[in-house]
Amino acid sequence: MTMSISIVMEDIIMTDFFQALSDPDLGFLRNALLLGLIGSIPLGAVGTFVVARRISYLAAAIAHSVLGGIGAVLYAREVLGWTWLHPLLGALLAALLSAGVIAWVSLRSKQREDAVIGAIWVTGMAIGLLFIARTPGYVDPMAYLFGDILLVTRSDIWIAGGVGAFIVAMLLLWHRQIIAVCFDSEFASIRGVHADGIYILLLILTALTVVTLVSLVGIVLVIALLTLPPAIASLRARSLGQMLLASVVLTAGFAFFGLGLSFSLDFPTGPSIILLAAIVYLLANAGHRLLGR
Amino acid sequence: MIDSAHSDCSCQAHSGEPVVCFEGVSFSYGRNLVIEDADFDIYKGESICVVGPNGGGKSTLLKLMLGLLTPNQGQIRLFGQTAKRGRARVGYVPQQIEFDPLFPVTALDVALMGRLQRRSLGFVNRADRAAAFGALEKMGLSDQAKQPFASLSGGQRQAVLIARALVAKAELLLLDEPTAHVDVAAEERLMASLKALGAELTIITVSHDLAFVSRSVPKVVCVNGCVHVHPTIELTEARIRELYGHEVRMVQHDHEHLDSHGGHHHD
Repeated sequence: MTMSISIVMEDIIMTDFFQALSDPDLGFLRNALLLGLIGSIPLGAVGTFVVARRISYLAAAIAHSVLGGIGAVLYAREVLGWTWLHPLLGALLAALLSAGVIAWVSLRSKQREDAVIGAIWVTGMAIGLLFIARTPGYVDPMAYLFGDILLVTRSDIWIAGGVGAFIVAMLLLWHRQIIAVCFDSEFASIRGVHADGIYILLLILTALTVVTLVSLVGIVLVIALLTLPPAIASLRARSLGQMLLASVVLTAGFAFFGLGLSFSLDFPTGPSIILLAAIVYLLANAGHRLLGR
Repeated sequence: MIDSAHSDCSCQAHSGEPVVCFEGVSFSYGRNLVIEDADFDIYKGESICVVGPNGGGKSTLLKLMLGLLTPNQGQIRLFGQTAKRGRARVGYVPQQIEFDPLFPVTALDVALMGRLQRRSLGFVNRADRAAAFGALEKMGLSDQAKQPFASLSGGQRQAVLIARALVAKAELLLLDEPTAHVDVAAEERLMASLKALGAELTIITVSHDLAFVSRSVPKVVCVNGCVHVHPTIELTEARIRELYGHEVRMVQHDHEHLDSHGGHHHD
């Protein structure tokens, strides 16, 4: 009975959503869906390595530090008149700088890695908020934290697609070395692989994924989609290849159904996608425990 | 502290260049001298165990051999080359405890890592796959190739790691505590597999298990700051007390096992 009600509800909700997708006046919805589907490829692929290598907290620190770069660029544009500067460039520099510091700390320094990651996380946010406070006019920091996938334009989709294609190409080329370094960096070094360089490459690919999507869908949604789908996929995956494919499919599914639910129930889109992913994650974990491996 | 023994190449009953050659090697972490004036050679086909107390420098010796650490003094040659060049011919089998049990790889994926080279880009080819399957088969694991590495038993995981080392066409096998996390039966299957690999392979094993050492290899490398190489038969109770600085009990397993020449006998 409950099942049939949920199927009927889902039917009504998704029928509404499908109709809206073909409505010429609702192009923003098609753009949002397109970005969700295109973004699911780099998010699922990079997220698989992030979760398998247990560096989710590191990706979250990079994502938050991006706010520092965006805030600095907004300030420079308004106050210094550097209108040629794009916020994406500020985000990219902040992300690469954070990734560089974290890589140096984890590979060379004797500092506590988790404490430095925490410091980068909060420092990046504080710098961003300070610059935004000093920038004339009203800028809502919440827009960068939660973003709005419904404001995505066609050119945003092209940028996301281009960067996504680059990330996938790099992973196709280097995946064997990345897997070997993530599993056993010492053995990989002995086989002639530049283990430190490969770890830095993984951090750069993470930073690129985060930067491209943070300015479009917000910091929180990027972290959610970078970690939750691979975490769900890892419960049943036997290999990284399986985990990667399942992560991409799950990310695309969360984007699609999350968007559909938010449209039909008039909920904010980002939180709808995140909550859908989080509920599936909890249910998958519970099911995995109940049914065993 | 044990005296360093200088085993000159010419004094050995071996021909040709040593596989491993340490010449006056010292290494320290900061001011802490870990290896002092190590001078020894290991030849093709030899099977040797590295023994000594915790913190005595066993792992450091292994890392020096692999070129992962650079000596402060002296030089190390692997197959007549520098350690970094020569290590391409070395199969390294680390301790299992260092692996993330949730990392999603199959036994075949792990074995394939042995085929990796500096310029390995893109997907694995048919030859890589065949070599990895072959190595798993040699270790009696062809049925487990598609199983997740984490789901295998301790002994099977160790065998997969040895297969990964063999797939690299290793001429020298370095095993770090191979019997630390496996039961006695698995340990003996492992040793039988290693012995079946042939006399061409040189095997260096780091071990805490003195009973295993005493019945598995004819020669030992004792490490406690200084390095001393001698026949296993000289590893007497007094010698062990001197090396470890305290009494060490050798627990003998009450069942069939392999002796140092690959044959079988009973305790």
